[in-house]
Amino acid sequence: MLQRLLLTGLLSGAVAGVVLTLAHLIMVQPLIVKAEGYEQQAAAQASAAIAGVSHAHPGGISHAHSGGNVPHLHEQNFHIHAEGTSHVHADAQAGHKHTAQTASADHDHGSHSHGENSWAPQDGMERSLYTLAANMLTAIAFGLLLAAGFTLYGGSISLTQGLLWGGAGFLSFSFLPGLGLPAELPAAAAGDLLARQTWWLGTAVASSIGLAMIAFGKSNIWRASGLLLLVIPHAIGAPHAEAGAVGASPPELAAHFVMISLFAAAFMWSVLGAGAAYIYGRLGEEETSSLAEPHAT
Amino acid sequence: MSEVKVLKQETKSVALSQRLAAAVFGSILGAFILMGVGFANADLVHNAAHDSRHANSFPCH
Repeated sequence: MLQRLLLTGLLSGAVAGVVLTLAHLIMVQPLIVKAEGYEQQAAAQASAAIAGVSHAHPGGISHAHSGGNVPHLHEQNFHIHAEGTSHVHADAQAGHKHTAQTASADHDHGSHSHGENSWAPQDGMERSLYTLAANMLTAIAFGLLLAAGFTLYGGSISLTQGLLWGGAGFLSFSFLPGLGLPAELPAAAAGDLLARQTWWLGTAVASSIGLAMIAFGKSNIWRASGLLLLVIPHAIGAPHAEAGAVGASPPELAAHFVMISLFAAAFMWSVLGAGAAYIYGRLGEEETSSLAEPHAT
Repeated sequence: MSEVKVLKQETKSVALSQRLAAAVFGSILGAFILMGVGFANADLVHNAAHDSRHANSFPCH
């Protein structure tokens, strides 16, 4: 029984993860890349605005110093900042001038990273492969939760029922949390991370229990309590960014991203629900036939 | 007749406790994976799963 549950979660999750990644690469990723463009632009502008002294290196690297004493050795493509970090611009040329040859210790590094503690996959194939891995793991996690639901339910699950279970998963883990915390582009304005994660998880758990109570409750009291569970997180309210805070990307792009990511999630949950029901059914047939065989002989 | 009934109930309740145990194990495993991919704050995990987190509307950053 446990084997049937685990296999159902693993197989349906793997398939749904691959399908989700296809949708992701075609529809979602272009929006993320655009948003990161705005993110970098905003960071460059911010550092230029703070700057007493700002300059750009050839090759698109720019940064700002706000006025103090920092030795610069661009002749060797190398410089040290007063707080102790040093770096090399491989593509920087020797000849550029600061309008004032002074900079302070606290200057903004918004537009370039020093690479310390910040490994990230290379853009292109590597990044896509990590997204595939993360999507497959996410879908497998959802698949295991679905299969656990099937197992608790006990009966056989038709494809239509599987789709309904998938729909409940979509509502619990995407749509209902999204009512309070819609999917964010990189560099969106947002409230405290831990508060948002807590609200998101709380809403997902409350919504899945609430939906189960509505679907399987034997009396109206159960169903009404389930409905209450769906509403409570939204009555409490999701943690939001401070009033007036604005992200780096245009609101049109953010709105598009919310719709696209909801669509991708709905697509993934449909595949996951139907796939899990199919695999769970097939594994059930094997289980009963292997149980039946010894009796037949 | 009543013996059959008792037997049936027994197998059913055993099945329920087995089902419950399997479901609890499956949910914990699923939740564990979900927390790792979607919610762990470690930089490496975050950067690897970054695009996936955004697309799945997990709160990120």
